[in-house]
Amino acid sequence: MRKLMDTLKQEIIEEMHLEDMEIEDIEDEMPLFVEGLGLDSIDALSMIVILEKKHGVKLENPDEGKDIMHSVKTLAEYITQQQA
Amino acid sequence: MQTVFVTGMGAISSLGVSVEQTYEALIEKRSGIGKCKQIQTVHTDIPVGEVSLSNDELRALLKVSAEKFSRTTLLGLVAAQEALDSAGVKKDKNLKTAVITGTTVSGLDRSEHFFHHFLLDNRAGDISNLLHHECGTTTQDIADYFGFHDYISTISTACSSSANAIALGSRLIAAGVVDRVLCGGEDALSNFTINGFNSMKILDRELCRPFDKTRSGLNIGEGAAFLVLESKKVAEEREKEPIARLSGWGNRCDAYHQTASSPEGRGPLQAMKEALTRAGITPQDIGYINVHGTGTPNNDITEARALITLFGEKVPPFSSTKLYTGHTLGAAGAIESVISLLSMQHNTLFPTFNFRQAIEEAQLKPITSVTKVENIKHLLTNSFGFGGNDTSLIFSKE
Amino acid sequence: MNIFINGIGSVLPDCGPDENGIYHAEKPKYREYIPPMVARRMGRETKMAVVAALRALKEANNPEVEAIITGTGLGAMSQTKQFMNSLLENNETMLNPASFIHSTPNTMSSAIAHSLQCNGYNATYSQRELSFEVALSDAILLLKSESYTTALVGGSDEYIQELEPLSKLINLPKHLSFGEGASYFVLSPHRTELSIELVDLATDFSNINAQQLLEKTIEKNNIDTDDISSIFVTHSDVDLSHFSHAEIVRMHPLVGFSLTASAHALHHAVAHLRKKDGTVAVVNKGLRGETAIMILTSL
Repeated sequence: MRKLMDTLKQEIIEEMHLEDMEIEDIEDEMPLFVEGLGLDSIDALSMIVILEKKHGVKLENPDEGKDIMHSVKTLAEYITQQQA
Repeated sequence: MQTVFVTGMGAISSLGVSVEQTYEALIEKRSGIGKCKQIQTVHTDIPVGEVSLSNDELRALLKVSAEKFSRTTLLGLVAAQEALDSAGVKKDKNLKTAVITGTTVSGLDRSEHFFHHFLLDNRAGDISNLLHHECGTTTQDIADYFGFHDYISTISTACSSSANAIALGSRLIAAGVVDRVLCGGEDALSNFTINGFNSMKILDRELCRPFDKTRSGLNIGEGAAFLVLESKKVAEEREKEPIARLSGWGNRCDAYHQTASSPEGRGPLQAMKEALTRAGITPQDIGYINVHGTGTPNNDITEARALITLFGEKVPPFSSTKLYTGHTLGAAGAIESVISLLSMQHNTLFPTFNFRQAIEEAQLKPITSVTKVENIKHLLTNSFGFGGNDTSLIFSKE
Repeated sequence: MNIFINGIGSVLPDCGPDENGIYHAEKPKYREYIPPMVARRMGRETKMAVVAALRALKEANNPEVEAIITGTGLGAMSQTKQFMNSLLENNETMLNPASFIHSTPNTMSSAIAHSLQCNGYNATYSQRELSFEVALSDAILLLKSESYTTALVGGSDEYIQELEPLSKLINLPKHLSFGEGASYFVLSPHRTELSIELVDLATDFSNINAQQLLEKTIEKNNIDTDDISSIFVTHSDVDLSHFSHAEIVRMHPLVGFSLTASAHALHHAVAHLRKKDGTVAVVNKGLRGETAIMILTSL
């Protein structure tokens, strides 16, 4: 779980072009969208690409994934559950 | 200020290669949306509004040599030729003539070709293809073809490009800078745009459903349309009966988000208001609106809110015709201007024929069947684009 | 009506060409101008444009802007390239839409509008080497015929490596190479202390001789040949032998070749007139024969 969360943080930094950020800047339970990290609707689409491309988990649209994409922790839990 | 007349028009889209074919498809409720044939893509399940002619067939139609022009330019030339023919004009040394086009894809089909090879081998790929990437090249090619060199300009404001080209054309005539303008826009389908909109998850796998509660995205299309604008003075001197008068334009920026409209449709509302003010008319004077109505959840609800704010309980008869042509991006404003002018000429409104259920919050119902009307004095057409570039045009009967 | 340039701002090459002969623009501290969360998806052409625009507005004392107009030859090249490569590499599946969304040429004007929260007129032009001039002519038309009072107009293009082979194709002389940058201007019919007057803008698309168009333009404005003290030229091959009294400033060695180099030439011309009174011309000649002249004078 720890490793998966760090991997996700790295992927978010790369795919969302958060060039000035480090893994440490993103807390496990920090909200990713709006308040918290401040990602937006375009990032939500990028997140779906990360999930599918890097973790083999499919999400049809961002609305469906609102709770799943709440934080790095919720993402990691969802991926683990899907892959099990 | 000079009065600006529309004296000619031409169009090519998935509905056909002429204004007449466009009109026939519209009254027969025949959509041009179907399977993609010209573009090599893995997304064979995505329906598109494709012009039925191949590049070779377009070249044959225009009698131009192989390979010289991008598909975008070829489409533009077909529509521009028809517009000039219908206006009955050619190059005239005594009249200053401008060529203004709007495009967003331009020669992307050619640059795609270049990048494809360049990616595989950075010494490969015909770099000359990349030259077509520059949007102005399309307009220059069209201007060269007809020999108009007094003024050339290209607007690229995404999906409002050709609406802005028409607005600029009218301003140049109104200000007396030129006497005549060939203005409009052109955009070809491309792998780039199909994949772009697909990655945004806003392409409907079925026929798009503008202003419908169940709408789930747009269909992308291709095409071109041109108008010939002339000062009233020039048109009267050659005794040319105008199709309409271009009476108002509004150009505003939503300044909210690169792709999404502000919740209240601030930019669209201001653009429509500005066009009404320029035309010197009130909202109640508008007899028909050709809405932007792409069929995406975001566009239609925000456009609906702007319409309700502006027109209150009395929103005029309106329809989106994007379920006929698909969203032709930079060409949309010009194609929908031609469609609107056909409505004015024939006193006939063309329907959003697959509409079933209104968006709950807005409760706006577009025209759903081909409707004869008495007389449209003024009509409005909307074109909104990425970057919040929102433009409205008003055409009026003389 | 007279048109005045009341503020200029640029992001331009500041240290000559690199080892490959490319003129790279200075790298401002972007975070001082654009929030990092906003800047992260912008290509360099857009970041440069926003910074140049903000600098120009600051000089003009931040007037309320009614129109934002950009000329760009190649638009958002790096974002276009990124999405195109991604779709080829991934066989059209699982694509990140961020670069597509920011690949349209109007990204610059709209980013500036967003930064200023400006709902006014907004447009983007591309017309090969005259991309900036057609944008400028729209601004002039708005001021003269539509009673707008403040327009922000500029030109921006970035260099990407894929352009290099183009230099052979478009017959760039050997010693000239690509450049990049953004220059923006605050235009108004109202004069301020900083004002330089934009006396005229002439464009011609009929492959006219540039010197001939310059002569025609100054004659139209009742200016004598000898009154032109400096001529800023974007294209080195232009013959200006009739203007033997004028100092000829070649822009290529300063900013390199780009499709909006004339915007940078205008920046240099305005800066020059602020130091030294007089009347100057900017001459821009495109490779398909399109030609533009700008005449400026100090007050």
